[in-house]
Amino acid sequence: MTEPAPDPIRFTDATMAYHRAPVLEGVDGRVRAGEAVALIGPNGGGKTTLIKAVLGLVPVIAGTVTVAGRRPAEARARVGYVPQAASLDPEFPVTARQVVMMGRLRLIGRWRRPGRQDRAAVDEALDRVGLADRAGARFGTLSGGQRQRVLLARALSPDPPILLLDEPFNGVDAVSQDALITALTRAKSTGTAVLVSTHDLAPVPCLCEQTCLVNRRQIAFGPTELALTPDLLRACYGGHVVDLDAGRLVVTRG
Amino acid sequence: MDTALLLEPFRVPYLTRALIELTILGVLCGTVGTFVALRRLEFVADALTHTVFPGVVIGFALRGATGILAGALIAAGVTACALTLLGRHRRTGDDTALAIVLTAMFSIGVLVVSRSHSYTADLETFLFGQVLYTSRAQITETAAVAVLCLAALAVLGREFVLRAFDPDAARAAGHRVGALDLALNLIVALTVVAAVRTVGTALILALLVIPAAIGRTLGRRPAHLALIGSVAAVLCGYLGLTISYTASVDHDLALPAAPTVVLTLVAVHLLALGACGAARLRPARFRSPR
Repeated sequence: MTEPAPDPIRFTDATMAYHRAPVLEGVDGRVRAGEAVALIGPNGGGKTTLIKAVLGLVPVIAGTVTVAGRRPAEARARVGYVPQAASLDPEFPVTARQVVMMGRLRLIGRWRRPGRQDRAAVDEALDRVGLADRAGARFGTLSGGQRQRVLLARALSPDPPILLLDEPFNGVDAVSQDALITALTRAKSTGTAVLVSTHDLAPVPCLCEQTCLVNRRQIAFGPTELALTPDLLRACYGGHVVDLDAGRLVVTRG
Repeated sequence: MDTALLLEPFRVPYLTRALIELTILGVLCGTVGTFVALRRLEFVADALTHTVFPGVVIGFALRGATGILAGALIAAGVTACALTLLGRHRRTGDDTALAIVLTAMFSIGVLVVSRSHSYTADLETFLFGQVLYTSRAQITETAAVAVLCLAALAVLGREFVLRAFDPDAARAAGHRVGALDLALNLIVALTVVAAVRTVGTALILALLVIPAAIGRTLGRRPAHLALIGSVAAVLCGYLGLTISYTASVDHDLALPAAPTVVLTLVAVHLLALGACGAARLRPARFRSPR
């Protein structure tokens, strides 16, 4: 009998720290292949820290984080990372296609030029986010939502088994949000594990099998229908009222 | 101007050598300057001009003309390493401290020069270079540095672009950002060293910054920027030399070569900005919101 494949991402009572000061404590759960986990919590609650820990960029000082059974820093080739588009300089002179090609840089290596296979992968990735027709456009001339889709295409282009997304739905129009969800759903269907942080709770129930609530510590980590409850959200957001607005969950200031 | 007038100055051997040197430097600075612009390393380039100056002066004081290159290399190498380390742990207060260190270095250079007999002439040479005194050996050295730097950029260029555009993604993908930063700073340092005898410490910054700015005005992707910047730098090198020579020889108006080249670059940049502005005024052009 063969060993079962290790979980794409596994947290075991993990504590992450910046400069030895704990930022996020007690994270315990797993992201399975073909599943998405929503990462929800207030700003400064540790969402980005958790994502950076999976990338091996933030130290884990207690417990463990493993990526495909290895230490995070050793598994970067298996992880596609999607930052917030708003964090990038819109004046930077690159085309959408060039941004996506950046995702294949590790595969291409220093001594080779991008080949036919690389160009085909880039075209396919752009097609998966619905931007095949904007490949030659300068990155900065695209809308915020389109830029976010280009960054997802970049992460998809080397076809990684794990995707990490930092607030991809922030300030994104409905068309782009749909395109992102479609591309992520398709990635899941081919066995990709997805960890996505978000403020917008609307896409969570249809996209994410599990939800992880964090605010300096883990509040909940489990099936979305059990974790995304008003009580737990209230505990997570600390005093802010959570409304159930026509079946949609909305976090409001209370 | 007819073509005879344009080519005439370059029948003089020292002008031919100056033109060859400026052509090599133009390609080198146009390309390296593109990465300086993308990474916003203008500050590093500026810092290098302040530290290479005392290196050059001390090298000259100790070993004469042969000491210049060694002095410049040592000063540039130390600066590139120090700035890479500082860049990783930079705080707001560091800028003040750094400005003090840099001006102190520059003052040390001036003090050392002031002890020489031909103070004014030497200072002018170190600050503004001697394009017209370019030797064959110097051309060979500059070409060697250019080949080395351009080869390094050909291998590492795509990683430099990724690092400049999205440092977090570069780290997440496992690229060694610290090593990349050191490599680029060393390439800029070598470029400054290659250009120091020709255009002097005061004008190197212009060669690193203006061609890239012209490229950035007209180009849409890094390779275009480097190409446009290089062409602009080579063209302005040639035009500047021609103007300087024609003014001096035919019109008895002494125009030093290096500053004329720099001002030609500035003029071309203004033209490029004007052309770009005129293009933007066209109403039909579609621009999506940022």
